[in-house]
Amino acid sequence: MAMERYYSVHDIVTFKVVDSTALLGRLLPSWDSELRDMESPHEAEPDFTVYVGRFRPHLAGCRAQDDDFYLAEGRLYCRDSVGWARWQLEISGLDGGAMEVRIWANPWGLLQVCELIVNPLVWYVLNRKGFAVCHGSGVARDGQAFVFAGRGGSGKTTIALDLVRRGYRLLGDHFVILNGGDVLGLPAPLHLMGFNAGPLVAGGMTARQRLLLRANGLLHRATGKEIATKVSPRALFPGLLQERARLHSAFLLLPRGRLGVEGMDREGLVAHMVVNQKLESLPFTRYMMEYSYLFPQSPLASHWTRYEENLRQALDSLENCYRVEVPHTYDAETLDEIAGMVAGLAGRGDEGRERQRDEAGCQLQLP
Amino acid sequence: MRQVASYNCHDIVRFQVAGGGGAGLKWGADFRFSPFRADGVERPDICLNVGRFTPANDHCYLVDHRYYVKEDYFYCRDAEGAASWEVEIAGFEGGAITMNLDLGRRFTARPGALVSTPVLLPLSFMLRAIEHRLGMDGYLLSHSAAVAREGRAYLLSGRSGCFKTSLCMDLVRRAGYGLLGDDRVILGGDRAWAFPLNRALFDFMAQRLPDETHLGPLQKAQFVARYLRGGRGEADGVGPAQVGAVLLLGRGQGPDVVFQPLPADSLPGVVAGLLVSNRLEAFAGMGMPGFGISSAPFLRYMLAYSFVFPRSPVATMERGLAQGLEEALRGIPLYRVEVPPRYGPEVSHQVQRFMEGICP
Repeated sequence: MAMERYYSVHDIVTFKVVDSTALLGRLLPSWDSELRDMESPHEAEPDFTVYVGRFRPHLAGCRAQDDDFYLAEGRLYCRDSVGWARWQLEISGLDGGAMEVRIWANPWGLLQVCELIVNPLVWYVLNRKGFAVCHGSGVARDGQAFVFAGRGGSGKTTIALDLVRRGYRLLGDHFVILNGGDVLGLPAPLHLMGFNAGPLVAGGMTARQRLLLRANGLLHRATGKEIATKVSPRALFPGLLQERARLHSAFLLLPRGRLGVEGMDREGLVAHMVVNQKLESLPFTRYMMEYSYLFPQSPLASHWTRYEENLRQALDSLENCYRVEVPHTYDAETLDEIAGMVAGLAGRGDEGRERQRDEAGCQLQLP
Repeated sequence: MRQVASYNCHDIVRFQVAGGGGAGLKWGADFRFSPFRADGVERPDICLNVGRFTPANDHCYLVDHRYYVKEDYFYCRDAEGAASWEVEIAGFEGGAITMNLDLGRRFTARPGALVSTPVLLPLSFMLRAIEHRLGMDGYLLSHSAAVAREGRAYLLSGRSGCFKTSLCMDLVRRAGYGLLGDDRVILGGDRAWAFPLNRALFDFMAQRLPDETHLGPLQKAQFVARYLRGGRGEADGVGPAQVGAVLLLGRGQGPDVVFQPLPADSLPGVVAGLLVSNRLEAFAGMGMPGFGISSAPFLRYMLAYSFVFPRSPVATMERGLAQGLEEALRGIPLYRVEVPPRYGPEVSHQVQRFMEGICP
């Protein structure tokens, strides 16, 4: 029996997943933990439908490219792999309108296709509708949002969870959506690793999740690979989430060794963010390139120029833009200083906040 | 014993490959870059050192837990498919590039990898570095075939499987064109310079085989025997030539070759296509099919660098290349050419006739 589920990102993008893999596929934690927070009762016409399971590729009239890609107008089929993970992917409806996505993957592939294919598809549709996804965390207080953009290992989750502990609300720890001066959370699980699973989350985790976190930690020690354990923030602290807030400040996190802040211009931030998103969507970007090589007029081909425009528009009225060099590992003092800096920004002109910032012992001088 | 091999590519880029532990690497480099062999070059633009090294990766930005980046410097440990490696690249912001590469011991996943990876992987990195260095100087090492006649170069651009090599073989041996390259050619402004990789193999195929699809294991063995007896490929002195026409090859369905002239305003799209083709080629196995490396490591490294320095020359290189090419290729005839799914003498005749028609 196929399992059907509807998902929605703030009703901006809706999609449906029809899972007909065998029991094994459904037992794997990836799909459920990755998408759970987007689940929606809506049965509206979805932007795309994902069919998971074996499928017969529709190759008639397709052109072969590099042996692994088959393309026709509006349609793409490919075979790909990363390490042990293998998958086949077919997307139709690429020339606009509703897309149909078919995915078959081996067990290792099933663990990854959601992140490598479904997420980038959501970002792609969001971008087409004028919303720019930013690889970064976001928190809000009094309707004002603070965004921390950065690559893996820069402390996005650590900072966001720390600020939630201090009374902010979470927009997202891994991705936020930027649009017209607003920041929206992208419903997604927290990316927990040994070093950022602090007291705020440790208590609320199920035994299975704690075990998984421990196992991933051991795997990290053995192989050096960072594997995040995905835990829904809705289950951990449902009262501390926020859906939308006005963008107040944006920080670009660059791990180098010592904490230091300097102001930066918006254009500079846009440039960093574009590369950030390109790195994040790598295998999918390749599929987009394969398609746009043959069909340069398609909406896929203009994805990145449109993304840049959307970002620019979203950050148009942003005044507080900072480049923050952060240490490779965070200690309590660093987090205090960052919290002080954010509080200082949030309450500029507000004495109470100034005091709070002084109490936090903030040494950071904002430029 | 450290072996050093030096190459000079048209005085545009000079490079050097050095490595310990046997002659395999020098042998492989000599095979691939044979037309550019030199007795030694002063101040090479690229130095590739294969073997143990001590990275100078202090005070770096750390990207994605694993890429070490600072100004004009990159270091990481990486592994994919049948190989693992540790690489340090410095000087890629326009100066002389030094690339240190230490191979891990993970070659056992695929048969034959034990022998070929220590040679092929460094050479793939070398090719990426050459492409990068040329790009910084405003040249595109295009993933296209090209032939020349009477000072005019004809570009046959297309992805793998568009019979670029077969067409070159026939145009060279039947119609007397000079070979600029059957897989790569250097574009600088409106001129093209020869970049024939694996020249000896191309010569062998042009002499012995009807087309590239006939290169099986037996033919490969024959080639190796001949190569060892001294049939080394040399440059045949085809100098830089003015680009006369650009033919964009694609695989069609019909039995005939279809030629379609493109309007002048399609030039930006054509140039974008040339650049995308290069990037996609970088994903397709690093020039080592079957090794399971499909994440375009060098490209990924430069992207990680560009994240930290998004306004650096490296990050903005491609935009500059596109602008330069658009200016230089303005007014040059552009054609879209669909080749049938199967190659045969008829295909090469049709292309040959078409090329005679557009030759001045």
